Amino acid sequence: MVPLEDLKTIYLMQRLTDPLLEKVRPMVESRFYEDRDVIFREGEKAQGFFMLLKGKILLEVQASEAMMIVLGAIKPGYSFGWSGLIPGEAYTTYAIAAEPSEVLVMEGGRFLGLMEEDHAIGFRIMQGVVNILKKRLERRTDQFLRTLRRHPDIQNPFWA
Amino acid sequence: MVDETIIKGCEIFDVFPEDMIREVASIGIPLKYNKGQILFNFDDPANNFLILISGHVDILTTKGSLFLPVHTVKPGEAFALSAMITGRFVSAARAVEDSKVCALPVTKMNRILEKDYKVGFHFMKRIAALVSGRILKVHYRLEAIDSGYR
Repeated sequence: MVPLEDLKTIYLMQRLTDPLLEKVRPMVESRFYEDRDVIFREGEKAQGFFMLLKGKILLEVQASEAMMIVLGAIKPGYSFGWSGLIPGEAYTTYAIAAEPSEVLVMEGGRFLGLMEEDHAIGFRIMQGVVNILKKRLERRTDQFLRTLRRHPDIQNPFWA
Repeated sequence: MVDETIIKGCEIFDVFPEDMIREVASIGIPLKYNKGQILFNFDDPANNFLILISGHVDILTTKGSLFLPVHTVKPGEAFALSAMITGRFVSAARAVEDSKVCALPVTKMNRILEKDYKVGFHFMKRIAALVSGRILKVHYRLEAIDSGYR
């Protein structure tokens, strides 16, 4: 089983107490990936939920047969493959190791089931999820503002 | 204290049983804002989770002294989500017209939520869905701008 200390380095798990982490621990397995290994593919049925312990993961989309675009990089402690927490969903990006990486994996459906069964876990995990989503919203909004500022057709979209 | 119908009318509280609705209503503080008034600003401490009772409020993203509306809050909608998340506002809000708001102090809200984790779990799921919706909205706007840019 994955050591408790490893789980505690994952941002999403940091609100859980040790007894609650012990309930999550049996569901988690550790996997190792080499540089450029594909963890999941865009369009693939999303079953796993991933947390990066060591290394670096790139989230990419295929723009054309010959071109991949990097949407973002996952740092240790952060999670990816959120589609795995939505029943019936497919992954919306590729996840590719950018260096040798150790990843913690959970079966999304089982993790969701645990949150529905133990609401103390569900509540605290959901607080973490909301926090991560909020940061993504901030980043996206910032990107939106920067795009607007350099758009040639939009002269002054702001009011002071 | 505010009328229970205000809490019941807010979709995010759908999962709350009657007794918890009453409890939330008992901590509600009614506030009034005039057209053009700023409800909160970037980096202000986010102490209250808000429900719009009447009027319209724009959520503004800010860069220094510049403001840009990114979302319009309609009556019955919850906003000031930062109060439940980070404790500081990352955007601003301005009344587009005279507006009434119900303020729910976040420390009291958290105490209510921690009494029943089932309700707390579903409530946070709703908040996650609201934030996801806003991410998608910004994403589509970005796509629209980018497509006109090429």
